[in-house]
Amino acid sequence: MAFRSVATQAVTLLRLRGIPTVSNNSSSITNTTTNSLRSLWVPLARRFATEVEDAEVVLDGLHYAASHEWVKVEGSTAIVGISDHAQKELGDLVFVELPEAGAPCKQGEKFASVESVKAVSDVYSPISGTVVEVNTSLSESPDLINKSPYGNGWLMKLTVSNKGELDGLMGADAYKQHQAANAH
Amino acid sequence: MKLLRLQGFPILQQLYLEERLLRATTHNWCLINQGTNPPAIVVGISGKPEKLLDVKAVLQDNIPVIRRFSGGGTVIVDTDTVFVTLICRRDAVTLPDLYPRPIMEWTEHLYLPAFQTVPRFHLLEHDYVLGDKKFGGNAQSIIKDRFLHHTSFLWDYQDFRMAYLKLPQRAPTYRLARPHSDFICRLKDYMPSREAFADYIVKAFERQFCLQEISLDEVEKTQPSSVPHITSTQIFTTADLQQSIMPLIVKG
Repeated sequence: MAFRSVATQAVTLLRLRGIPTVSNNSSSITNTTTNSLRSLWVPLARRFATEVEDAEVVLDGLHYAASHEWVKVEGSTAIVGISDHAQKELGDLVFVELPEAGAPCKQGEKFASVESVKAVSDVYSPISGTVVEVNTSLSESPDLINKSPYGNGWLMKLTVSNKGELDGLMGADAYKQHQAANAH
Repeated sequence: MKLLRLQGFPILQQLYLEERLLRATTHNWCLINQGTNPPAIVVGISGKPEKLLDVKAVLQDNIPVIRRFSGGGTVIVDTDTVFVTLICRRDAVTLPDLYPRPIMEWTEHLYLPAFQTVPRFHLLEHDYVLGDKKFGGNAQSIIKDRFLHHTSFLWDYQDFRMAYLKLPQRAPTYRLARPHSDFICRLKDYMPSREAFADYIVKAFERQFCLQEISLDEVEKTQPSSVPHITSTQIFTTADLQQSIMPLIVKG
């Protein structure tokens, strides 16, 4: 569980009181003395924030797509999910729409949707094949994806039609570099 | 960015159009629709009428209930709603990845100039507010290299229509269990006219985009509805709504 410092709580309180904590130089809002004091408070609060967030996990032994899905191939079967990075960025998941068993999946095409607060995001299959099983636990507990993106939060299992497609995916190290490059 | 201005366009048709422009075109779009008729209730993609609505009252008053393709909560829309929709390619925004929070914060910056005459406009949790009062509902749909963000602004609203909506199970922290009347506010109390509001929005968007106005006829000609695409928007039938409350009636 993340530790939230007094300073970070102060930033939240400012926002709840309707005091913007977003700096926008293009705004024509008059910079009153009160606003000057507020504008000092927020950067100070952020500077001294000691909130500790969990580092994003990238597991070895998986293949990753640029769109942040992972696949683990075992023989002719693959398990698919979304990465820890993706679940963190999406936020708390409240709904998951999965394909039916027997549905075909094509690499790079949508096979599922996930809903976080206010947003639905498509999820893309990292590999082609036919769905053999979906994670039915997610209908009642979509937050399994947030809690265990590489474990109990798996999305589907499929029989793989072309293992050669794995060559177009990234290993753990390449995926970490991909994430680092996208962060800038 | 292509700008499509509509007046009183039915919300069901608007949602079909938005989904098509998102999934079957490659352009950037802005839609502004001044009101919709008849009034309708719109729930998010996972919305369950029996949990969100007074379904008996909705059925009795024959209010259409629509499930939209984007996420988020429930709104009741009518002639007093101003709809603004942005559909953007990934390269239209300076975001490393398309995720809900960065998109939301980007829209806050985009909208800010439109509200420069209104005190205390800002993004609070996931809502646009004036102080701590919400004045519109917003939602997103994110696909590969494109996203849609739409907002239904409350130019005005009728209290009796809000009564169709139950207090949601998932509510923002800042709501603090306030009833609708204490939680939301009317834009007409802060803006000179809805036409002026639409103009402020266009001017705000012009700071980042070159807007090219297009008519609905031109859209239909150049982006025909015959292009196949995923369609998730649906309208609940009377039977659907009746069935949704059957387990509740059986329980007594």
